[in-house]
Amino acid sequence: MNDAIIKKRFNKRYITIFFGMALFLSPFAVIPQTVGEVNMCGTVCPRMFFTLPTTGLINGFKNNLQAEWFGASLVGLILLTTFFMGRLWCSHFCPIGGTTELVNRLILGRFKINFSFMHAPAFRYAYLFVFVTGAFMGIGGIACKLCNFRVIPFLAGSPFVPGYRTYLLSSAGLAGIFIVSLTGFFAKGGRAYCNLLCPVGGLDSIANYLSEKLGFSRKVRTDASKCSGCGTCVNTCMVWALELDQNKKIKRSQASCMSCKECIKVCPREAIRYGRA
Amino acid sequence: MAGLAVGTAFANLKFPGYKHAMVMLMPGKRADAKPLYFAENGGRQVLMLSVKNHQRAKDIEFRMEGAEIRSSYPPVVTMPFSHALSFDAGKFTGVEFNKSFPVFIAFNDDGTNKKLEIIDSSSGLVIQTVDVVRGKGNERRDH
Repeated sequence: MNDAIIKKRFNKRYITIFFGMALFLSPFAVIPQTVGEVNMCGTVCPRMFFTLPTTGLINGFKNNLQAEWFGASLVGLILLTTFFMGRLWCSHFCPIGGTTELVNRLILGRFKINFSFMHAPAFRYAYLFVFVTGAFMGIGGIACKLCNFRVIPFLAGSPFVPGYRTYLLSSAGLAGIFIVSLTGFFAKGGRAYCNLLCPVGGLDSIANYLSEKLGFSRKVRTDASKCSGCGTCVNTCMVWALELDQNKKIKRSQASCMSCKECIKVCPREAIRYGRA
Repeated sequence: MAGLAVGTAFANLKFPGYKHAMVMLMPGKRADAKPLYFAENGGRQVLMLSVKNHQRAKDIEFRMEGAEIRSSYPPVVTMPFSHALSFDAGKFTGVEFNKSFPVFIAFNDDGTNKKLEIIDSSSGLVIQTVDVVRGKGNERRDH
């Protein structure tokens, strides 16, 4: 058995994803328990602190930071890591995107929806804008109601804790399950939610883009002399960051790239590498 | 035909109601708490409360007639270093001052308004009583 086949069968990235799931999700929820929480809501919430508060910008933001200090610190660490090393959180540790991706691997290909017809950066930043300013538009509720950081931990805890089932069997819970299923479990690659709707992913992609522009971040690079334009990497990319142009040349969107390196693993001519220039 | 069938099925389907509201537990705030509102569409209703403890009682019990009081606490596997709250049968223990915690209240809408009692379970005193009222009410309270 050659190395390429071994690489395809055994994906080391899944180990770190399982590690992230054990740290953040039920039944262990190790990290949330260190700060008195049992899931990714409350102090651990990584999303709410950057929504614009209606109770005054500075005071409201200060209150948000106090209430969600752990989530804010986590996002700070994620963005710093991304700036210097690429989107390692999203691809290797995120328990939420990781769960949707792993469940997605168990579903037959014919049941999966391909969202690559959507222009991901436009949708992502439009939703990020709506998310941040939602409270001013009277739709601040979407921050929690469509939150994958709530639905996935609640699903993970639901076999053990009746309270999670109580929430999931409400209209908001069912809507959350529907969104996560549609854009996660049943989306091609399992990462459509990450690519289109995750606000932390949106901030992370901005950090990745800026880092590339300033020459810090590592990135996926294609050796044009080796590339045959077969498109295997394009089909494998979970966040449709790669596309073939008319000359069969690979184009890459650094803002969407999740640094998962799956394209490197599948390239039959070893034409793709990951690193600095 | 398939579209009509799906449309008919969804038209008759009643989704369980859901409301998310904040409740501040304040000292001496027993009678003037604002009511919580839920949809009048009948069937199962879920109130998800983010409760913030702004008073000194640490053992807090929630009671509402005909309702199941639930929470995401306690943790499934309690870690040795865990600071998570204890919760059993509607009672939270060890709630520190300023701590926020979720309470899920599930009940069937029988056409009547309800009353939620929040009690200091160590002394038996009522901390706060909240009316749970059918209707839309003040939307700004819900999020």
